[in-house]
Amino acid sequence: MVDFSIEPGALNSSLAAPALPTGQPVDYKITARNVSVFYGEKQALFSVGIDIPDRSVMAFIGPSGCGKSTFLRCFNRMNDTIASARVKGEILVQGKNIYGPDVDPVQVRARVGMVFQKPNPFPKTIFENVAYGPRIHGLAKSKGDLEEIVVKSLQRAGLFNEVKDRLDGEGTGLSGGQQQRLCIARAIAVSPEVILMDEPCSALDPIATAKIEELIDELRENYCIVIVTHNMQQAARVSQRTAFFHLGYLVEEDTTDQIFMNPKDKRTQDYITGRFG
Amino acid sequence: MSLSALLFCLLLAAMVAFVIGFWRAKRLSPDNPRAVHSRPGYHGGYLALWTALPAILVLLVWSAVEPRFIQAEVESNLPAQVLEGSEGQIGLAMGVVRSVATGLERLTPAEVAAAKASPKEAQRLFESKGVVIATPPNAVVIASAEELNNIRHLSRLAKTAVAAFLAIFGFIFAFRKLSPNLRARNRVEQVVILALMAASSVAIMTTVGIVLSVLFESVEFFKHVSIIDFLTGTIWDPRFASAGDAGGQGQFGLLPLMWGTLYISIVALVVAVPIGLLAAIYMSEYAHPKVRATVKPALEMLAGIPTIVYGFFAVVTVGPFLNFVGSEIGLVIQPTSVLTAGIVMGIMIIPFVSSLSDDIISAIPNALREGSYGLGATQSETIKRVVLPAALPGIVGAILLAASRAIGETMIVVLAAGIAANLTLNPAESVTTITVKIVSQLTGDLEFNTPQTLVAFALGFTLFILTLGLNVYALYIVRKYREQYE
Ligand SMILES: Nc1ncnc2c1ncn2[C@@H]1O[C@H](COP(=O)(O)OP(=O)(O)O)[C@@H](O)[C@H]1O
Ligand SMILES: [Mg+2]
Repeated sequence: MVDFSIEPGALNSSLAAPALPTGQPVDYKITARNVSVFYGEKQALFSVGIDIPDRSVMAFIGPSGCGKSTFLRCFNRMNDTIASARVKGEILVQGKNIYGPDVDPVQVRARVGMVFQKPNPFPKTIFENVAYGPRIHGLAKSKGDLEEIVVKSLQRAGLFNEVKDRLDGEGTGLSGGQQQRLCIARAIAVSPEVILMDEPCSALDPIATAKIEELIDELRENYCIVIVTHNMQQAARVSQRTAFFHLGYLVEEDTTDQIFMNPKDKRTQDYITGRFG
Repeated sequence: MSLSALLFCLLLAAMVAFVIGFWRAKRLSPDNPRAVHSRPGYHGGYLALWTALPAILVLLVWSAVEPRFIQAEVESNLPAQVLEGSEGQIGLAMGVVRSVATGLERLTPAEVAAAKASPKEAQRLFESKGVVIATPPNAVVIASAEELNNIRHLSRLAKTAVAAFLAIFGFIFAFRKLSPNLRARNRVEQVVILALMAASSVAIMTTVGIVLSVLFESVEFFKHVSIIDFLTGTIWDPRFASAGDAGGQGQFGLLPLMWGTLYISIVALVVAVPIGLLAAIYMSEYAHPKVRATVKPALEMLAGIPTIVYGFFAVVTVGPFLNFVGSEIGLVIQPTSVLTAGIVMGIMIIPFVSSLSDDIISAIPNALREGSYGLGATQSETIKRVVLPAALPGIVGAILLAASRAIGETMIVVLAAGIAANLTLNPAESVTTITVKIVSQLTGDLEFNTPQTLVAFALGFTLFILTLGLNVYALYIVRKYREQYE
């Protein structure tokens, strides 16, 4: 199943991942092989492969339009909602190919949660925002169950103390940073295995950003997190591994320290030293 | 020259002035066009406006007030015994004078002489030229008519002279102002803005005018019938008082009409809201963009069908069909009934519901849908639990707009609702509506001085308040909802 064909410029990650303790079998949550994405005729992603370990943060960096979001959206089959998009290759989540013929994308998305660039709470109350997922998946047997899930999720998202007196206030009435944490709570509430974040802080001020980064660091203990970010310092702060994309190719993937201190590829070097992008 | 010829000449002059201004501006600074404040086109426009606009404005005002002055002048010279008569008699005399004046214009000098000599001959001559006059015009009338013609002629000459003067003076004035520093663009745009303001105020002034005229006539009606009786009366029986019949003026109870109007509108909404809403959901959420691009205009075409055609459809097809269905299942459904009118009207307002709701649903940000999909919701769950609740206020606004259309609708109910002012709950019976009664009270050759005709204005005013209120409320809701997503 492992594919050793190396695209021009793409470094096969399984060959260059010495960071984790050797000797033990590595617990990869997500394994992608030969993933290519097309929007109509245009290819946006070229045969990308990557392994993402559980209980850690993987950061995707790279210049705008290089395919980070496109790749991220493959992990929960979000690209299926775009009529022109086609995905080739295979992606295993917990060993199961989510692009397999018998897989319902809706079920994939319950296991792989997503937080978007712009906070997008539903125009409902804070409680209803968080309760939305559990309700449609029937996760709560009783009203008490539901309340417990909501409170726990809000607590985990670090939002509970700020909103506990106004759970029935509108979610859209919160500040930008609070809205984003509400979206994280909403995602956590369906107990996903993976949380995808597409530039979750790009619409937030520095203080709100710091809170989210702190939260990501805590969530890492229980989830596999993949985050797209434009902010190199952020990648360095929150992630354990980093993947650098360029023009639809995965150029280099390694431990975050390695990528930032000692990048192997010239393009990675140029990017992190700010020479382009 | 006649007014239209004058206006035409002024337009020509304006075009010439534009070309001259354009040409002149190009030469103001041939080496460095940027040194000229405004582009040549604005200089041309500036010159054209100064040439034509003052003259046109003066001409229009002149033509508007001219008839009064001329009339007053000619009237004051009418024989004393005519002037002593009533206003109507004076008006009648002036009418004859005006006709004779028109006739005189068409006669040769020889014929004019003949006409002056004999009133009978004059009448015959005028008739041969296509001007029919009831009584043979005597010398006094012909003299008045000649005076009228003379004044008109003079006025026309003076108009031409003034227009020519204004055009030439305006042109020279503006031409001397053309310079690199002239703010021609600003001046021209000021005029354009004024024109835009005038255009928008026409619509507003018209609305105000209509409201006021209907209001005054309604007040007139309430002098005959108390407003309380009108608003709370349950019997509609406006007997047309025939001559000599002093037996009261009938009863003008609004309630049966109001009930009929609302009942039919409710049936219409019951038909239109589900169909329109489901169509909107299909178009905005499920249909391929290509399908939507054809289905939406096709639905909107329903709104373009003249309502009288819907009326035919109701009378010829839906009414008999319902009647037949009713007899099959043992119900008596009158051919003109609440059901017939309501169903057809519902079909008519489907596009109002569907098209507006479609716009509103499409305006829901995609981020909300993605947020829901990202949590593992299916498309139908997303629509039911996120998209529709978010769009609800806007959809309510759309429905209210459709309701106001239904309430004000006339032709369908005239043909399909019936004319009996019943207060009934049975949808198989016929009722009547406010609009139907307005039509029937005003049909025929009537004078607006009896309560039987004046009531139409009171009804119209009621209808206006009703639909205006609905519209304002609906627009308020739609706007408030828009703000949420901007
Ligand atoms: N919905 C879409 N339809 C067509 N092309 C798209 C779409 N989304 C992204 N693309 C194209 O795919 C490429 C990668 O986009 P994206 O993954 O959004 O880049 P990134 O997130 O790294 O900035 C870009 O060239 C972009 O124009
Ligand atoms: Mg992106």
